[in-house]
Amino acid sequence: MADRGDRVGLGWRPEIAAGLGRRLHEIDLVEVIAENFMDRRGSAGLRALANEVPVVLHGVCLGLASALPVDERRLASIARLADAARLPVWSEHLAFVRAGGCEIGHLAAPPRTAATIEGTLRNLARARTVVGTAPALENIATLIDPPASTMSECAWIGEIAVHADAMLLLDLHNLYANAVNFGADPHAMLDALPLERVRMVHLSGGVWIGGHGERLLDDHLHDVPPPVYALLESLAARATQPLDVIIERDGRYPPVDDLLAQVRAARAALGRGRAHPVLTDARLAA
Amino acid sequence: MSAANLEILLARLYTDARFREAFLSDPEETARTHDLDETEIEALRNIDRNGLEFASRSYARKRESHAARRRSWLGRLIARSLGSTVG
Repeated sequence: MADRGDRVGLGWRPEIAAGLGRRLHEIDLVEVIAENFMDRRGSAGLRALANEVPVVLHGVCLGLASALPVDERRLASIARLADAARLPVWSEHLAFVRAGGCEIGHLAAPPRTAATIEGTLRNLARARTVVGTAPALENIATLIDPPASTMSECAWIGEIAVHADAMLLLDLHNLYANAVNFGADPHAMLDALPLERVRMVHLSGGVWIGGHGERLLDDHLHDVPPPVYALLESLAARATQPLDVIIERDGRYPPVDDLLAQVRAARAALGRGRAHPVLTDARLAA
Repeated sequence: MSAANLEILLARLYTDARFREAFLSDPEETARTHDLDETEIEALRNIDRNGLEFASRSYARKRESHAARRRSWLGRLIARSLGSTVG
């Protein structure tokens, strides 16, 4: 385990389960996609996994960041799973995934406005009531600058996190992709977030798309690139709290050895950051 | 209410190629049918067109990948149930 209680692990996927199952001693935790474990057999499997390694639950289809109300049926399913598997810590995305009967099929960035902040806060309050705990909130990658936005991404996330008193799951590849796609400095974006609220971190990779590589797509099919490890180092230098770091991979799976090498690289980045703390307002307050 | 209407319009833009084509040929006309305020209509007139294409293609691939996974799951279920019937 890295310094100061940081933990590093992998996203648990059926395709890597057999190889990873024999090497659980090399990671500190796993993250599971909640929607993959919704039936009775799933929650029993999850309990068995949680006996072997710490598990955190990750939701992908609630669509909490919306002016529209969250789907109660899906929220109840998360609540049942969290209860059955005895996993109180869970996370979800700051995204909308459906509206007016259209299922988008993935995470979409809503306009960053006061109205979507209000809607998100209502949905988070409902989630806290139904599930019993509030989720850690994850920033998403977007290929389109959401139209009609009146705030920066970081200001919008910060407002929601502070008013909901929520933890953040900071996806550093999402942050990096949005920065390079829309002309921002990723390290300046990092500094503009309420870093004292970050408890979990995602790392992943992506690919440049478009005829001339116009946009970086966060596809989870590639290794974590060096600038994302640099952001992790920078975060570790600025945060005082322990971080749970998960490497996400959703296809083109390399050998487990390669995934574990990325776990070690993440631990090394955390170690470098912890060894050279940067004085921030939050660190001074702590 | 118009914030919700804007999300509904965006969800259609991301998922319905014909609607997207109609929108891109006259964003203001499409926006006005969704009961949006003037600021939202102006924002849609200046939408990030490249981003809209990239995002829509990416969402379409995701939906196709979800559908393939469902088909594969359904196939396994049917095979299992046929196997148990025959067996």
